[in-house]
Amino acid sequence: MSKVIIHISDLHVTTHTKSNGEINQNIESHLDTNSDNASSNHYLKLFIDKVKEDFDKVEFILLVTGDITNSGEKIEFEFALNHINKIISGLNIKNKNILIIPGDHDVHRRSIENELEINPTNESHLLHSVKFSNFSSFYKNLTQREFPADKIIINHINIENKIILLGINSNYKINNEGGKGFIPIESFGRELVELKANLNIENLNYIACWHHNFTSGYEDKNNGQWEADNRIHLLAELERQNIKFVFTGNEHTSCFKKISSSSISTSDCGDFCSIKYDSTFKIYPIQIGSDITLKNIIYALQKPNGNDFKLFWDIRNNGAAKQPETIDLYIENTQLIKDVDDALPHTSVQDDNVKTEKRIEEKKFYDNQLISTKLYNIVKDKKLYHSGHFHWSETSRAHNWIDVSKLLENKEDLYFVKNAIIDVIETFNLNINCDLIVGLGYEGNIISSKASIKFNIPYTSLPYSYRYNDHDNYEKKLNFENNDGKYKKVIILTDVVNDGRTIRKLIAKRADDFFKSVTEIIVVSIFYTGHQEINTDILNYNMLPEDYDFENDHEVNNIEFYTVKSLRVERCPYKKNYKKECFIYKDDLSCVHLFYDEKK
Amino acid sequence: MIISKIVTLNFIYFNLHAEEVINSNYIKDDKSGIYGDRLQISTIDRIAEEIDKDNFASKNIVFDFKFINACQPNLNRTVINIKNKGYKILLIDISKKLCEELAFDSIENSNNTLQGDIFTKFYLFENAHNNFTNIEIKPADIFYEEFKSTIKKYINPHSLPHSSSFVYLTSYVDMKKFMSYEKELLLFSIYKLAIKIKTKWQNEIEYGPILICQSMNSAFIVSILSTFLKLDILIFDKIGPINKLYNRLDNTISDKRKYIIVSDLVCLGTEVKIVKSLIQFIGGNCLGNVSLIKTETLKNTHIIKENATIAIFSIKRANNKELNYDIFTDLESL
Repeated sequence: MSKVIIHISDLHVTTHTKSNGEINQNIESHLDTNSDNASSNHYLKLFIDKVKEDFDKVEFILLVTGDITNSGEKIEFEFALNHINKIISGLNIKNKNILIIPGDHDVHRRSIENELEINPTNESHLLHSVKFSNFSSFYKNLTQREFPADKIIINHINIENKIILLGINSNYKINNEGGKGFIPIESFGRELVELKANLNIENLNYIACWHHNFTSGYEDKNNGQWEADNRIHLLAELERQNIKFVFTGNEHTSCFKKISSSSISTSDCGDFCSIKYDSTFKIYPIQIGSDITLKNIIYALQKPNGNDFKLFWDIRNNGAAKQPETIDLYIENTQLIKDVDDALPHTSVQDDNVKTEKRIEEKKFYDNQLISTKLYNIVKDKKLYHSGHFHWSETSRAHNWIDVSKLLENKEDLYFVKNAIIDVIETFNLNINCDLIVGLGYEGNIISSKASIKFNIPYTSLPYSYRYNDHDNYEKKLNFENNDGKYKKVIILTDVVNDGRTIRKLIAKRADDFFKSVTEIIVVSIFYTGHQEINTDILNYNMLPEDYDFENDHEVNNIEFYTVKSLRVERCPYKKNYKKECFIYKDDLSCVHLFYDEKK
Repeated sequence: MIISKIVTLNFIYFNLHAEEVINSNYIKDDKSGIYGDRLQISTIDRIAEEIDKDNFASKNIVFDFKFINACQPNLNRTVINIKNKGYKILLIDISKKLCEELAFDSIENSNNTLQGDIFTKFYLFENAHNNFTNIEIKPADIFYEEFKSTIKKYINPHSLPHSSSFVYLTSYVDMKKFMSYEKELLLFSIYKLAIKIKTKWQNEIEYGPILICQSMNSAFIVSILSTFLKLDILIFDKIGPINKLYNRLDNTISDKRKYIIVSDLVCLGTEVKIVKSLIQFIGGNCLGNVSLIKTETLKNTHIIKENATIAIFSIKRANNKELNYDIFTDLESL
């Protein structure tokens, strides 16, 4: 039997009669707590009949992405239970096929305030069991399961071992005064990894389902209703966990949007029962074959307001609504092997010229904006971008410096940077046929550990070439012989690359015995601080700009370069005359620092 | 990559927690460090693949369950599959509860040894007179012998002065080469070091001491220890910016945090003492120092415990001849 996901949201079941007996005049939902259920029942019947009419002999999965009630009151949940049970029984939905997620309107703010009177705290958003007390009872009654108020991942539905619908609580920061969507990244990541381990099924397609919109279809802002920093971290985590689709509610606007600069798309089903505005829901029939896709069918409430019938549901035109007809979770790529092969740099000598031309045309570079933005924010927040006069060698001077060692101190930032390196390597399949990884300097050694273990590639380290004389002899030995050309492809990992002079020196002078037989040298850095437009060729001698100081440089032209973030530093403009002309250096106006021992 | 496999004459040893730590932190991208205690099917599957691939001469396998307190359901199938390929399996340090959960308790062997709630030995076969049941298994000794025989390959004649102390060394341990060529054993050693750190400073770990690296080799070790122990790090580059720039040491060392100095090898401890003095001079609190290898130049009773290096291998009176490693001075013996 084929399966179909019904996605409804923002029911806002609203209190009909206030405690003083007054009728609520501001009800904006077709579903309320009127003890005379006639109106609500009629509305639900229209919905159930339409779904049954369009989908015969299918297995339904019900997804409700929050704001089930208007203010989280007990009575609203009692009626919501009744209303949703009607949908469940009307469409014969199995208990295992129900995924219910709370929204910010399902948080009972009065309960938080009551608790605060007894136990004051300035972190009221952490009172999870209190704020979800009413929702928890409703959830238990509806699903026969306990609501895990302290968890991020509430529940999941496994669809034929191919698709996982993840129910996620985005209300972590909601307190008695409201708040925006927020998901603690570490907990989310940990719970998801645990779930993945428990499922132990390969090639699953995960769809995250939560309440808050993290982009907007209605409001003219990109952040949606989400805390800005957390949104960036969350997008990066979703990318890392390979989650490409998120189903949400909250904005009361049916839409489908791709998040700019990422591979993540979001589908909002709209408001299920608004009296005043557009009422919509979505149905996603699932198609599992060599491809795995969902059809994206938008149902909109028509309001002819006739004297015989006032409302009916009808399918909206996807093209006119600017929404795709299908959501492609997995498309079999029969060209995959060929593409990977094409993506790998070719090594034959006679192809060198062709290869150079091809690369320039391709403009191949790492472009994960989420990861590079997060990296930039760490630099900004920790104030790691310094000004002064800095020397890396007699020929390398700049007026800025990024303090990478400080960047790596915090365990979370270190974890992030190590994973950023992994992401660069995986994005371009650099690990395939790689014979050796070399970490440069202390920082290179630190950021390389995960790549060397994860990809199980032999590893060694070398000092920065401008610091060679500061190190003991044993630290300068590569320890791998390459007379027989066994090591053809080598990845060099380092923290910062500027014009590549020190890398070329390392390859052509410091460790030339080894590197002369290496055909592919891949350099991956956290930062590129040079002035060229990023491309994989820019560290090659032949690609250096005409005004470059070629003195004491080395001719190396087989470097392929990738970086996580380009963050330009300004060179000291006084070149060799810096001692007389650079006022920072001359007058000790700001920090003046040498990264090597001049005496050696 | 399997890091804990040690092949002896009589059996093949695997430490399941060490493998789980590598699998969950590096393959599955979990961030549990060494604190996870649940064995996953994918971990035992990787071990099963290794066993299939290597086709060992010995058909006896030891699975060390120390620190494993739970298992993913159905994991027992993989273990039974290995058994069905003709291997005799011994589980050590496995809880009684886990044995029951894995339905191993139906296999009875009179040599099984239960101490409290832990089976120190649980044989997954019923023949009580098999040769395997007579072999004494001590994981610490297994590791010591493996490490000793491996490190021996990287000890080279030297006879030059020690780089930071006024003594001569007969030999030099090429730790960088060891780290490059013996990655699996290196990772198992760092795992063991992490366990030692956690055990030694059980209470302090909660307050997040900072791991200090002060050499290229220790930078790599610290990077992995940070993952295993979930601790912040500090790069203490003797000649680098930390000592020169903005008096940054002042800003970097906090009197509210404690510091653990990490080395690859501690010979006479001069460099460790320099780093320790600098940290204390600035007002930092040094919790101690750890290393993969240390040299025990004093008798145990003569070492002041608080200054002792925590290491996973010691060059000492009992093995320095075998390792061809000695320290001497130019003074004439009396």
